[in-house]
Amino acid sequence: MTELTTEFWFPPAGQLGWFAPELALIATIVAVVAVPIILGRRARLSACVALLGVVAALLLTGDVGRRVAEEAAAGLAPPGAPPMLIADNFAVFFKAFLLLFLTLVTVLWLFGLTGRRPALARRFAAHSVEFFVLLLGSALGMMVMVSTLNLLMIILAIELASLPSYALAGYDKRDPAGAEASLKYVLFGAVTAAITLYGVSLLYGAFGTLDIPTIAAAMAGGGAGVGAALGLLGLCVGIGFKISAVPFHFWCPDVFEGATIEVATWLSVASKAAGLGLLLRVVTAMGSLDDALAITVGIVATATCTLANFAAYRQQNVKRILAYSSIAHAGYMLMAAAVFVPAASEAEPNLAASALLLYLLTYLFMNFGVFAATACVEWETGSSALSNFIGLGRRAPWLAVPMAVCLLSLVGLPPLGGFLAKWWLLVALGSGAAEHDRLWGLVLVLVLNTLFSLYYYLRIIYMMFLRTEWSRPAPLAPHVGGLVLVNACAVVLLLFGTLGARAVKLLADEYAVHLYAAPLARAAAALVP
Amino acid sequence: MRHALRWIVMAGVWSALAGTAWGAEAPVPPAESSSTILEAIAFYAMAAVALLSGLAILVSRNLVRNVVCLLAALGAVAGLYFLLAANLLGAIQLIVYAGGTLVLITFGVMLTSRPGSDRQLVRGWERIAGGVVCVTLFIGLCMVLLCTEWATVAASAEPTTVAAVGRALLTDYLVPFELASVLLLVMLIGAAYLVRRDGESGAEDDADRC
Amino acid sequence: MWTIGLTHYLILAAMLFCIGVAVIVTKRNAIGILFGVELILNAGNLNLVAFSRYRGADIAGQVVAMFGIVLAAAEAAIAVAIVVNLYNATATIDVDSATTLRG
Repeated sequence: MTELTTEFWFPPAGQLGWFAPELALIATIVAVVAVPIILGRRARLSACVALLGVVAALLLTGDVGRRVAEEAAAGLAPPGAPPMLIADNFAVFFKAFLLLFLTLVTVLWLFGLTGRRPALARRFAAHSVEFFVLLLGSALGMMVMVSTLNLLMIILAIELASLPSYALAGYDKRDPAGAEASLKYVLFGAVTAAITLYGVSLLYGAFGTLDIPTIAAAMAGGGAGVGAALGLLGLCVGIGFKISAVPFHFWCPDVFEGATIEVATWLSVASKAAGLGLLLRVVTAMGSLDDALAITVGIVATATCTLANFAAYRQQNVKRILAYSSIAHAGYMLMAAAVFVPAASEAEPNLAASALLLYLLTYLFMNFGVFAATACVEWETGSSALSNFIGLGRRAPWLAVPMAVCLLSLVGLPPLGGFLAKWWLLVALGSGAAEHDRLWGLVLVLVLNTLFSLYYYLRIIYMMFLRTEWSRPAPLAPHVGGLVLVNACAVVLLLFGTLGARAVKLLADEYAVHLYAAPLARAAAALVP
Repeated sequence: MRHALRWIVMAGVWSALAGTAWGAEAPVPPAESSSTILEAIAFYAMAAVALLSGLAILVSRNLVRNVVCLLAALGAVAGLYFLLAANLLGAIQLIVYAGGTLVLITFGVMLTSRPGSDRQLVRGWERIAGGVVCVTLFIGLCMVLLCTEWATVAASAEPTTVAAVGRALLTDYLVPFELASVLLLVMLIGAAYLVRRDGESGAEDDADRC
Repeated sequence: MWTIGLTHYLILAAMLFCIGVAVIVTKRNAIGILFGVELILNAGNLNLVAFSRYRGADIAGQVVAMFGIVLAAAEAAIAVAIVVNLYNATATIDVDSATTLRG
């Protein structure tokens, strides 16, 4: 054994370069801690350092994306071993997506400093360093989640994404609701993480490896036993918790209601996107799901969106309604994973993956728009109860109209981006179902659920525009920055649905090719020096 | 009840110590050797301690007692690691888990204990339902575990050396190793933030008490 | 019976897992639930080490188990911090009486 020469492995710069965005984010975490030591603790300073780092990471992601487009796939692989981290089109899309969203959330947090009542804002400003360390930490975990196929890395990444989120949920220490939300979140998360570890131990025992493509190859070769299936189920528990798929969705409404609005905004999109990205990556590595597994995912998706849509009916708090709405949308996107079929050739865009990416991109803007509007109301009135939205159409038309646009897009009505997202999802569902002649029911489930969801979205719009109050409602002066964000989201959604529809579809297609997948011999051979 | 618990705990601590000594001195012999019986006895003893202290956690309502039972369980599992020739892991289990994590949890118990607060229990039928679910789960798990053909290789006699684990951490598992360090840094800051009393809020709390 | 094999360890780990689940289901104290989580984590780790041993001392299982211990420590730290935080805010850590958030 060549012990002396191979004792340490320092990743070559060429391989490390593929993961510049992650490294930049780690450097930003350190900078957020270090800068206040020199320049003093100031809230805006921390936010600006974080913003700078995130934008730098975003630019680096663009650079990596250009190089990935040329070389298709690369990874960070120890000598002679399968890659620990993967850089491919899919990972680049998700990293850019998460970093873009992180930028938006940071900007929203900055606006919250001036939008909130001064006493509350001071309390938030006092702990900006901790807030951004936790936020960036969870973002880093999510970025690793979507770019790995190693079981150990998956566990670590899920934990790195979850643990800071638990602390973020209880970020406002003097709010008992926040403390309660974080407790429910951490207990739920700890139990699912422990079950995931048990599942991973069974997978490791069955196949003797931690690399999912190797496991998938062994499974395809008929080496799958009941134990391995149980292990896979354990892994799915961990992913299902991040997506808040149905048996693991209980934390979601409580955390959204109890946490501050910025944290709820972050979790509503990022946690689900990272979980779905990981799930789709695992599914891609397995080539295609076998019947039993596909039907299980289909049933979970059906249960997720149906239950969430019905539970949203009787909520009186807009944040809770939005929590159930986000669970329902996670269910829609889960359907894409259930009908995943590998594309005919690698260079051809994968229909299901492309539909999922398009949906996520649209979902980012519609969800962020609604959350930013809710934030504006909450900053002004101190709560996000539905009654605070009564007469908003007259009290603050520049807030109410774009919010209504975002809500209608969440329903999926025609001239908006949400419609196209649902349309392409339906196309993917139809073609995936036709390929295997199974799961036709999902098409019906998606259409019916869209109808169910109409009621509670329209209820908010009804409250804002049609409901008249006896007493004259006080006029609302929403924060200008918040208004700009909400209106920008509404405009983007209009563009996605009309002029930009083709461009968005092409963008999603572009990132749904060359997925790091089953024929990995090519990629693996290219990586091992 | 109290006496039984005391015996379990003492047995756990002693078996953990014995396991440490035994594991450190004698590497696991090949299966054919005459000490197979010895290995079996050690296994059953540790297994009994782990299970009994687990059950004690289940039935006992006193949190401090639970902590001690968990200590016995962790010690027994560490003994099993030594039995499995994973010496480094056994030591880490004792030092980090039993010595660090458990102390942390003990702090949590101490900081939040209030007279009467540990008497809360679920209703009787919920306990019975929980028991039934768990027994069913166990039977199902056992069926799955016994039905699966686990590919096993003849166990090697050599215990895994610290050097081998260290080398693995710095080569094949360097990336997760570094990621774990980021995780610990972020968590350190997060946990410290959550438990710290801020200047202004601390003053207010004192005022409330007055 | 007297030759200890992989199955012995797997069954023991399964028992620990089920006891852990039972603890989680029946305890109403937040830290009590944490005990159950620790038992499940130990079951997973024991599985990993046993598999590693009976696969010819394959190192991967031991390394994952080591990371499992690290994760347990980090998770316990954050969970205890959150429990203490809740206790400071509401003077209770009983999960059933934490019902501000309902809907």
